[in-house]
Amino acid sequence: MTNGFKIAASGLLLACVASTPAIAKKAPAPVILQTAPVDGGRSLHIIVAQSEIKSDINPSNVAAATGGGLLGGLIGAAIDSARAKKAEELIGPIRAAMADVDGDAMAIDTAKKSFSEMEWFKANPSDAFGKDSSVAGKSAILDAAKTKQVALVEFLYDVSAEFNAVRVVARIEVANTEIPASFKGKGEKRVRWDKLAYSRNVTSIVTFNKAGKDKEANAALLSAENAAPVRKALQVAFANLVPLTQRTMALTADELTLLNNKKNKRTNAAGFIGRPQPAANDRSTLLWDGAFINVEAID
Amino acid sequence: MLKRLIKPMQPINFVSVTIAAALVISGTAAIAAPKPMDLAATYDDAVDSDLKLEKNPKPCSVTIGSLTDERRSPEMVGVFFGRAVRAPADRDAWLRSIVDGLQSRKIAVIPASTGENAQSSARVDIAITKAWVTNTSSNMSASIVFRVKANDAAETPEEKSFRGGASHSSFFSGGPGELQRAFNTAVSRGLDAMAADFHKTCGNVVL
Repeated sequence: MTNGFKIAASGLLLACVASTPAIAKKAPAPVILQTAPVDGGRSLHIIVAQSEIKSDINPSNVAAATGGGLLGGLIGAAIDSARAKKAEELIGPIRAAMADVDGDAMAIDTAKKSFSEMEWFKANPSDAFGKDSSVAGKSAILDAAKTKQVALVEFLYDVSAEFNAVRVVARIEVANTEIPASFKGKGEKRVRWDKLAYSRNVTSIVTFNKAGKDKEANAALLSAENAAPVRKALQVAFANLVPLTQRTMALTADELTLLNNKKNKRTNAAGFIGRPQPAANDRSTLLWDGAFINVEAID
Repeated sequence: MLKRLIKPMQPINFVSVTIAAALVISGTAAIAAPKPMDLAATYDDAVDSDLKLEKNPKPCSVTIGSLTDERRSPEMVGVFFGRAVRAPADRDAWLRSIVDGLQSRKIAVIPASTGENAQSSARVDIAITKAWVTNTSSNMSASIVFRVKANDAAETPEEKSFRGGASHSSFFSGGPGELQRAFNTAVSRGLDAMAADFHKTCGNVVL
């Protein structure tokens, strides 16, 4: 298989998979960590694969609209490629203006604040950090761990496709370090989604009040004044992740049932459909797939 | 407030992305984790420089006080389609090869350890703070950030960051060779930005 074909096929696959969310399997049921202690506690490993802010695209729906066929998939992949190219052009000045911004430090600080009060963290206080988010990289982290479970906390931060919002995601995965005999020595299986002890994405989104419909104008707005709007948005988004993560990790099964009350009608926040949750301020917080999403607007 | 979002952000489908990347990159061994790939041991300064100077610029040199890699995870450069991309194992040699790229931009590079000509050239500490390759959909991008601290004992140290970036579609081509070229282009642009600043300090006009 040539590299070119691999890349093209990957784009095709991504287009097909991303545009048909109905086939995405549900993540493992939440294990309430506070009530499921492990001997010796867990260790924490922070992962930030990126070094600069990423760009997002709206994936093409062509593959789904044409029934998921090969031609539709190829067209969809080509559209996604063009959108990604445009997004990379627009985000260049923002990245250049943020050359001195240390996203890794923000992630480490956020993770430490989020988890520092948890009993299992206190047993093994650590701010181990790495940038290898590949399956092999995560498996190697588990190989090196001295605890029975490791909480892999992977941060991702990006600008929305319309350049009107910044998003920070903390992907929390708790994996077992032991390799069961049924895995036949394949340690990578430990980080497969259906083998994890726990897996949730906590999301913090900051929108810009001054942003409009024109993404090129929005990109110019975001890169102005040394990208001050994006710098501020990242600070707010990372800060908001701390209480969201703590709330998510402290959820019990009973609370989840209560929060999922059907009388609390689902709503849309930045593309996520979930049940709105009470908030102390004007932030908009949703419960989505067993975790929280927060949306806040700034000037 | 939410009505301001013209198009909603796409929830990240980590599972889909991981599965797709694993399936494709690993070729026939669909369930095997993709193997890491390595950047070349030294920087190849073959990419054409975009730096344009006036004719017959004055001689310009810098004395390198220190050259460091200050990234938190210096063994890594990024993750490309689910595959780890590693920095060269001998990072000192790698860094030296990168900074040697200033020579082709008409900047004489003098290591402080030689003690040579140290009086007549600016003394700087250079650190790499970011080096990154990634993909967005099928688009590949690479970047590098140098932090340069002017280390003149007579004045307050001045600190500047210089960034080089490269981005292009890899829809019908790709792999380690193209990724390496994208990274080399990013380094070349970063060196251009740094060299332009040095030339201005030397009184040269950058066109």
